[in-house]
Amino acid sequence: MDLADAPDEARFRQELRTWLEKRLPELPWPEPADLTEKLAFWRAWQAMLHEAGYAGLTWPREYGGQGLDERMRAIFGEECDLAGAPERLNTIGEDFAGPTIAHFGSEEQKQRYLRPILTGEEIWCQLFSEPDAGSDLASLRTKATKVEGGWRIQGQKIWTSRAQMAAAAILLARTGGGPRHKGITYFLLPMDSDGVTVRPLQHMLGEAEFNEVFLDDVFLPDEAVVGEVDGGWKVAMGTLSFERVAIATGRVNTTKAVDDLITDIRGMTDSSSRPVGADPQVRQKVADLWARAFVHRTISQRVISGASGPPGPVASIGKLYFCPLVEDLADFRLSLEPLAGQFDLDDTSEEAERSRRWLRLANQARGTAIAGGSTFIQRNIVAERILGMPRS
Amino acid sequence: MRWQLSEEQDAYRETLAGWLADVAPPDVVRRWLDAGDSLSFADRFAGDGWSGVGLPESIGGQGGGLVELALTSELLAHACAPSATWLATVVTASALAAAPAALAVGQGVGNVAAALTGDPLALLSPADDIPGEGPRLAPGAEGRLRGTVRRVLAGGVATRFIAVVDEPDGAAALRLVSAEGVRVVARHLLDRSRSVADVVVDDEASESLDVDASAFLAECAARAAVLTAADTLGAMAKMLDMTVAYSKQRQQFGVPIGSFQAVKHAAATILVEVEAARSAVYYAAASVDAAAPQSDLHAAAVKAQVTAAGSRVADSALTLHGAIGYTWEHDLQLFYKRAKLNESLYGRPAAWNERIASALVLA
Ligand SMILES: Cc1cc2nc3c(=O)[nH]c(=O)nc-3n(C[C@H](O)[C@H](O)[C@H](O)COP(=O)(O)OP(=O)(O)OC[C@H]3O[C@@H](n4cnc5c(N)ncnc54)[C@H](O)[C@@H]3O)c2cc1C
Repeated sequence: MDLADAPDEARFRQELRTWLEKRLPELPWPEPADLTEKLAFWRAWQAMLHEAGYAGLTWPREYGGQGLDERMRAIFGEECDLAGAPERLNTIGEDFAGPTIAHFGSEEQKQRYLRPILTGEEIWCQLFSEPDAGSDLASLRTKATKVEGGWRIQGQKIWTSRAQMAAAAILLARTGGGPRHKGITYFLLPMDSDGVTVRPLQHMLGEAEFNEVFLDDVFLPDEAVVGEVDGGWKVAMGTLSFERVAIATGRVNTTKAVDDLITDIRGMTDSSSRPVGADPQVRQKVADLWARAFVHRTISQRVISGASGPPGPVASIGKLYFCPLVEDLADFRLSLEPLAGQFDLDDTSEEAERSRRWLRLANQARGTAIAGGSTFIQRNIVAERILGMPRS
Repeated sequence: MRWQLSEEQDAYRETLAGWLADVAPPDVVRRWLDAGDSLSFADRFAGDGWSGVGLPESIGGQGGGLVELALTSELLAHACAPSATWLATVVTASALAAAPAALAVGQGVGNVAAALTGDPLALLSPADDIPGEGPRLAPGAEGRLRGTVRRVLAGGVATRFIAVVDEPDGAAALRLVSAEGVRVVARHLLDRSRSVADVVVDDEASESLDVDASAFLAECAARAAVLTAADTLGAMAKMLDMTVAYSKQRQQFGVPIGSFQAVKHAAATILVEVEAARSAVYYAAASVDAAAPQSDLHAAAVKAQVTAAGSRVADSALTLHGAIGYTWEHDLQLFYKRAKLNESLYGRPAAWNERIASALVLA
């Protein structure tokens, strides 16, 4: 248990902090809420990161990465949160498509795809889920038929986050006659290919965060296959474990969120002008959230410290610990607002503006609990693979 | 930062676990608990040289710190070994060693060293209060003490007590009282692996303990919090083991109950509690040892979170065992009771949460 920064960590943190202080103010603040404008804003930021050597911290140097370990990536996340850096828009590219390509891809795929993720030129999306294949991903039906020099893809995907702005996708399609997961192949798909149609879907708050994607006779060359033909399930499981680690360790900085909550409460009074922070129930709840965020931090650090090996049990439990914490945190903050923050995104009152960030977080937490393997599916995995309990 | 036990700590864990499997297997532990015998284990533990682990060499310990003590606490709970004496002693001894004045003054050091040679030492404070928040005794003339302190952990077995008394100016001071002259009234806990007693001090002589009282009590509080959480970690891990093993073996409707999804999800939820606790407890132990920023809050956080989780886990494990788990005969009740007591030992989660809230200066 080594709590302090090692000398290399301390140096990295200090340099980064200085850099953030200097460069962040150069962005054209405020960060836009609209996704298209936000994209331009984020690109400027990503270009700065890349130029300064802060993109692809853990990726191999030969593909534009920095060749550092997970510790530095964790410090990077902490310092960016502290400094109030822009929201990350290419998590699928950086956190799971990129690592999957680096790990399972061909030399040519690495050369072609990794660098533009780091420069911010190419956003990625994940074409896994289908209308009839959610938790049961292996039942997917999108079909890839072998043709001269490649494959023709036919099918429909759904819930595809960020497809509307993505340059490329990781795609699962059925190639073999083999049963379920035995006949699936993992492809890399340029989203501007002929036959790709993207139709936006709005989530509960009315924002078009994800999409339906129709694949109509789309051609992909043989070089688009990652790993073996019919061997895509193994690669997909690799992607999902990268996803789980990313969610477990840092999708939302809960420590920062609790600190913001506390700052808010210090300035709040109730209708009789008493400080909200003096209410015993508020005190119990805030302490509970602070303590849970501390526990979450130690889980993340444990995952990061063991990150040289395959994601262990802690990575799987990370998501199960994390999702309800973020829900409770955001809900509690909203409960301190008039009408518990039940204002639509188009309500322009000051009180609605003030709580909008927490409303989004509360909503997003629900989505995260479903995406990448629902809570129930995670519990099945934990029970069967870690505890060795019999399959149903 | 690196979240990892050292090789020595891993090795210690393994050796102690092996020793416990030999010396304190379930049937032997049952016999001790049924007979209310905590001394057989305590003697063997000290005799085989475990009691100095986690205490500094400067006071006659074998070195190591709170992480080693947390590992010990966890494993003692995993075996349900009678450990009130050990806990009461190491909380006070390690706090004495950590409170700066103790090292400068020979007396504190000497007393700790004596404690290590087999003299159990206990803080004269109710087992359900955060150390330092219990009632204080009023000092009489020439350091003579009078008063009753109820529910003292290891109160029936300690040979010396550290009493917290009121100074004329309202500050706290510490005094050492021998158990010889005091009257102890044993109380009976559901959890027979720990003990408390009411201690009646009736005009007893005491010597002053020249240690900064508030620093010492703060150290006691942080260490008690971490070690109680570590105890719950061990009890939870054991209940998880028992539950999973039982769910694979017990058949209903022609299949193992562990194949039912409701059972799996409950077991997975216990695993989340166990691994979350493990992540936080070792970290908090290292934090308190290093006197890291917010270490007192880390200790409070694990006490509040982990002992509350232990109480939930106990109920879930009971549900998953069905009627057999509800019996006296089945060992689940031992760990169930241990986890439930830990939630109240050294202050309930609400009391520790209030500490956190105050430190965060909510209002
Ligand atoms: C915000 C968001 C973003 C997403 N982004 C993407 C993306 O970019 N790319 C992509 O491919 N997908 C994405 N998804 C889809 C996501 O992966 C699926 O929603 C998820 O796998 C669950 O599938 P489903 O929605 O079809 O629910 P279903 O599988 O129909 O499940 C419905 C309910 O049944 C339960 N259930 C199902 N099977 C079992 C079982 N065996 N045991 C116990 N309970 C079970 C589930 O837990 C759930 O409660 C996203 C989803 C969300 C919410």
